[in-house]
Amino acid sequence: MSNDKFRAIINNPNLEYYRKREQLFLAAEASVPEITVGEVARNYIDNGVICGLFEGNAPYRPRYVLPDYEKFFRQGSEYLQLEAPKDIFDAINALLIIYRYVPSITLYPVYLGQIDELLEPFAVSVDDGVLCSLLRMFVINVSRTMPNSFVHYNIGPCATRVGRIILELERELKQSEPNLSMKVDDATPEDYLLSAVATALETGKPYLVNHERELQEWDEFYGIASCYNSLPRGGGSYTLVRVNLRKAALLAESVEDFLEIRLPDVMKALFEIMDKRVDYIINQAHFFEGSFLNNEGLISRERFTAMCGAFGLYQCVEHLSGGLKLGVDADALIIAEKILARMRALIDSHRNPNCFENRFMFHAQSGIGDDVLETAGARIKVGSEPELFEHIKVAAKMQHYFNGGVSDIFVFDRTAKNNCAGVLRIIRAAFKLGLKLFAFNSDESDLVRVSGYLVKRSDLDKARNQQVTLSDTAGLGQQAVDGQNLLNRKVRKLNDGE
Amino acid sequence: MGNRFLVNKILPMSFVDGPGCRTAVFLQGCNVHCLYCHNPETQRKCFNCGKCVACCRTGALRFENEQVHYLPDNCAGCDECIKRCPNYSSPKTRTLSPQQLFNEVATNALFIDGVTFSGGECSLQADSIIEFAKIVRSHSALSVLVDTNGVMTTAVLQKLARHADGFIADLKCFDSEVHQKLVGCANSVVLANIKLLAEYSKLVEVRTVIVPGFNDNIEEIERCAEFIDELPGTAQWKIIGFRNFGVRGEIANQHHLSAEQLEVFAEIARRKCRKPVVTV
Repeated sequence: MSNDKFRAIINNPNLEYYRKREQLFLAAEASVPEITVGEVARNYIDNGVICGLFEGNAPYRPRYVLPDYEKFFRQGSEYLQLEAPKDIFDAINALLIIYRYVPSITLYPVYLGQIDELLEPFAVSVDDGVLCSLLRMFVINVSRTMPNSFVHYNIGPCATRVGRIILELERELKQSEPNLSMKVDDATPEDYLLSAVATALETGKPYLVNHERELQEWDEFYGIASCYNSLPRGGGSYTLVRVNLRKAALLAESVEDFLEIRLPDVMKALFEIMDKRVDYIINQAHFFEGSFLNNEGLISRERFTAMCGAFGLYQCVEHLSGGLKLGVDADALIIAEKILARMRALIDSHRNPNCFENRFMFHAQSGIGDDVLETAGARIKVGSEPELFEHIKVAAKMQHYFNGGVSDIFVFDRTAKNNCAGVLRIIRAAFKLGLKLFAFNSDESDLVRVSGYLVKRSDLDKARNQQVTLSDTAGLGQQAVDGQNLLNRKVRKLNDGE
Repeated sequence: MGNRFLVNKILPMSFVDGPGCRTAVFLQGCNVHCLYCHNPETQRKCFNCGKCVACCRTGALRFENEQVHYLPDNCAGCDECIKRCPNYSSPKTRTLSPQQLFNEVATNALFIDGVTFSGGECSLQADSIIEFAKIVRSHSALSVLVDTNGVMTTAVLQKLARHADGFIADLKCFDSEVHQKLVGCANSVVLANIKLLAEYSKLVEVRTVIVPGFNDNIEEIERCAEFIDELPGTAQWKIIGFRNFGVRGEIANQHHLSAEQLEVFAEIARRKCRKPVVTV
């Protein structure tokens, strides 16, 4: 049976060599017996209440790794035989080298660093023309050698030359990879933000991150990786296992039953699974012993956490309340908040000594292609979103429960491109209300935001027709877009005027 | 009895009615009758003929005591009533005091830069706008803009200009004869009012819709451009391509102006006008 599975991958005419190799890795890992968990947890996995997100039966690396690239720049790397970079050429070359050695759940690094802070000190000695050429080379190189939309880099909150050029390049190149987040605080300059808004309306990135809110969860040394995952730099997340709240709700008789009996039971099983996965990575797979990133101090065990994901909150509330709709009914929001508060309290009360501050984080998991009946994270169902201001108010009330990353996506009418200041006004208001992450794009962008990642419309069509695409995420995107009706996300219609 | 607005529609979020994000309030009633009007249902006040009531399939309209009553909770938003109205009006208007309007707008104050009054012709309800602007000033940092066709007396204009933060004014056509055909009146008052607003430093934007067969010619664009160029201040000129959405009457089936054609006119405009020229 398993031989057939390998052969099916090898003989698939629609897979390019690297994709076959990746799938063979995954198939090999899947052929190892799964980590044993108790009967309750096993049942929750089997009936889909708990979903392991295809991390594999025998995890041999953390899911998300955010190396301390600053330290790498200070000390170079003995393993990679690199001195500390002396100029911008050295610096970019060093990054492009180390990226090949950063493990993750995919074959590519999910975090490329706080690129503006990393490169700005070296940028002083070159003029704009050279800097722009180098950064263009950098982002094109990343896009073509790491063609996966979970590859993610960060800029902000301070304006830098590097950051400004990156925004202009992203606007011009319109690449789905790498993904980009920009941290924003009250001191972030207006013109820098307007450039970010213009870029996002063209390309769906950067996501804007409420830096002040993130600092309530982390020290300054945090990053946004992969698909809106907010994590400590110099570490990351061992694992992300998620709870299908819709399916969990089907096992409860009432809101009270769900909150007091079912949810604690599911979370207990989730913690057991996650504890075992963390233990396996550390003590069975001996990840850290074999890692030069660890041996050279670029990651450390104390900076790793693990993420409890949640999705399908919309349907969970709908089921438990007998049909109330999040975003429409005020009582639905009250139930949603009770659920999130309960989950957060349960997560905060669990201890895992191998994790950053001994605890797990709470993450609004933004969906995979298989989720047809469930809405991502704590979002309002696609197509049922209320008017924007109301949508933001509701999202802000829910986002703050998530200390390990959360997102809501807002689609603007194309005329917003002529009024970036107006869009910025809304973003600033959203942040004042406590929204942690504002993801947005315009309805005519060629890049489609699937859940947390971006895929080109043209690649979606190719994936539908089973053509080979460079983008590693196009296939995932096509399943999700078609299964979840994502192209019908509510567009914020604007007045055409007279 | 105090001032009351007759409101056709409130758009909580608009990016095309002045700088930033604004709440647009469309007031009912107009003093001109443009051939290309996109909101013809805002032109006149309802005279309770009741013809719309029969076409409502969801029970949102009732005719009682010789009056049309609107029940918004039942409305499916099909706008069939508006299409059937022989009077260029709407049964769905609301009457609000300036304070009530402010209370409604204030729930989203954090999200917006201000409020823009449009219509219809909003200057017909100038006293209500002035009272509203006073409330806004004492309770918030929001700005108040007036989007006008420019057809008002100097006295009304001066009164409004003292209280509104800025104006968006239509320059529908420079040639007075064509203006007459397109709008139904001459344009000398409009030109004078635009000049006055610019002198008061209250002019934010001038708008021109390019309508095929009326003002889609180089001479017309150049004359507008020269006029706007000479205005004091920094108001921008927004040139809008005609679209037939919502349009009734003789040019309802007129084809749209293409984006390429619009850009050609914008380029002509930019050659003569040093102020910012934008297109929509």
